[in-house]
Amino acid sequence: MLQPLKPVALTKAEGLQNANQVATINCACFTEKIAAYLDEELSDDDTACFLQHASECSECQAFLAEAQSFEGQLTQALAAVSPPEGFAQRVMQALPPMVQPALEPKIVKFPVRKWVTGVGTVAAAAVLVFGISLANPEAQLPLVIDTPNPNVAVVSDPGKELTLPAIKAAPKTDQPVVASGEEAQQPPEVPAAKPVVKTPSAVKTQDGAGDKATASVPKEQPANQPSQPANQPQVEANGSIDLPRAAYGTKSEGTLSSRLIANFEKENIYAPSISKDGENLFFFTQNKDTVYMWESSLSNPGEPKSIGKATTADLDGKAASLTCPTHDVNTALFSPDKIFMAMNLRGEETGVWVSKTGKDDKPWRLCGEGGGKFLTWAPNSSKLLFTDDKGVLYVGYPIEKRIFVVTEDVVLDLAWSKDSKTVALLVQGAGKATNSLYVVEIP
Amino acid sequence: MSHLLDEELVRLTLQGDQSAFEVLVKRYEKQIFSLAYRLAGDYDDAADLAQEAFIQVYNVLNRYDQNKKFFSWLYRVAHNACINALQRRPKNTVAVEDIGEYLGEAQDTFSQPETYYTNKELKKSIDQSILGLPDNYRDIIYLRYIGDYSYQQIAERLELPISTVETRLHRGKILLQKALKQRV
Repeated sequence: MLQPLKPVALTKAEGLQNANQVATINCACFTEKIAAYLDEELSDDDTACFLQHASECSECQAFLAEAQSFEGQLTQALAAVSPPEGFAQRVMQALPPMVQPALEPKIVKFPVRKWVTGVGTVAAAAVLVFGISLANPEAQLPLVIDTPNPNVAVVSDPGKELTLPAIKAAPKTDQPVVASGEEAQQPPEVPAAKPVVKTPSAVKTQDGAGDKATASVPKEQPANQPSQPANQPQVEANGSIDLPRAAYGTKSEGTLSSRLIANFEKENIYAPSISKDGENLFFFTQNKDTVYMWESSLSNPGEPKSIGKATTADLDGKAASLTCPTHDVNTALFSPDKIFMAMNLRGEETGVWVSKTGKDDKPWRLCGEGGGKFLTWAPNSSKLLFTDDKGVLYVGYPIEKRIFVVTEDVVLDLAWSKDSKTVALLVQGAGKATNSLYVVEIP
Repeated sequence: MSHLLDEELVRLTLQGDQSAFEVLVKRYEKQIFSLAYRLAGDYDDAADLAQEAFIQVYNVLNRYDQNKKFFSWLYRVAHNACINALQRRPKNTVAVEDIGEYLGEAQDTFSQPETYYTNKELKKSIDQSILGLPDNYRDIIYLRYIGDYSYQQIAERLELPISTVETRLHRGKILLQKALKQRV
């Protein structure tokens, strides 16, 4: 019958008595060493001491016998049994083909046939006033080129190892640092948000893997440098961010290198694009009715320059509002083959407009749905994805002049496959706290 | 690939590399099969149970928390899978003509049916008692008795001093013995 091991509490007298004996261990030490003794993990010297104590202490001797008995039962009960030959192969053959994520299957509403009727009133102005320069796809706005504005707030050394700064709740300061060696220029005509300089704050990863504090410390402004005019972006050096959980069943792994290019308060930043040679990042900001275009060198980070501005009146007499796209989607985009130009407009001319570049053909409205923040061409230029103001995602075929609903869930991000047949969608289901990643075949 | 740590093999498996999972199966097939054998009491049944257990492990591998010891997690999942599988199965029935053979098998192994039953129950109780131990004791008991690791190997695997391994093993066994006494 199983007996519990006896806890040994030495009295002071017992300890003294044992200390006077030849053995170098006492009862308490003996008890602690029993497991190691039974597992043959004691050194020769320790084993000798252990056995000597056992021979001299009847109580510990009995205790050892109990422990040996229990050890035997335990060993026997847990004795390993070898599986049959080829067991592992048998298991592998029985496995399902892939690890099944614990996501409920999602039926994407595609295709829902939704024919779009004629061109209707052509808002040629919507395209024309955008001043599309066919020779220079990057120049999508009729920009009045100002003298490049070099005002830059460099807050840390580019090479310094930093974690990604928090974008929210950054404390303000009126004393940003101006890059040395640059002459101050006149601020833009429209005063806007003041630049902000980040202080250490936290970034919480999506999977709650932990907070990290930024290490950027604003430098003091040199006395001979002019103060930063309004409407300037904040620039920070390279950093990193823990990879967020991409989907259920994935683990965060490693970090991504990141760099905050600009941070405006109370203004929209939109339409980022990277030049073909990969050297420059262009983006726009809008303050009231003024739009600024910025350029930032990717090889020489930290110096976005204002390279032009325009008013919305210049853009469109009807003040078609520009949306705020993210990532590589845009409100006005050339197709990759440069044959088409598409715009996702909202306002009176809400909808997706398409025109053929290099032709006198007037642009046509592909559909009245539109006005959302996404607009992206398939790599083969045969179709494009866009969202309306409710976030519904559509796929449009400009030549066939028809569109289909892809999903009514809120699309957070998307990416085309190279063969233009598949789209990865990151969506937020209605009423759900979690995001879901889907892959949709789009013929 | 066999030199990779458990956690790395799990990651590779989740990325779609089934050969990584095969390494895990081969690494722990003996322990899981032994567990299944203790629970099923029959060699052939144990093979089926162990296979189901590994498939279950594979299916829920994405829930494995890499901050925990893989073997402990694996053992727990496999144990639950075996129990569930056993509960789903119809009770064993023995044809009348097979009773003699059945009894013969049992008596070959254990001299008395009562002993056979007691030992079988004891093995189950030991498994359940180990599962009920605190993590730091359970991991060491697993590694020592089921994984057949030496103290040095346990210390390296758990990044603990050998003295701590020794102490925890001792105390773990005391706890285990107490738990067993309550069950038996």
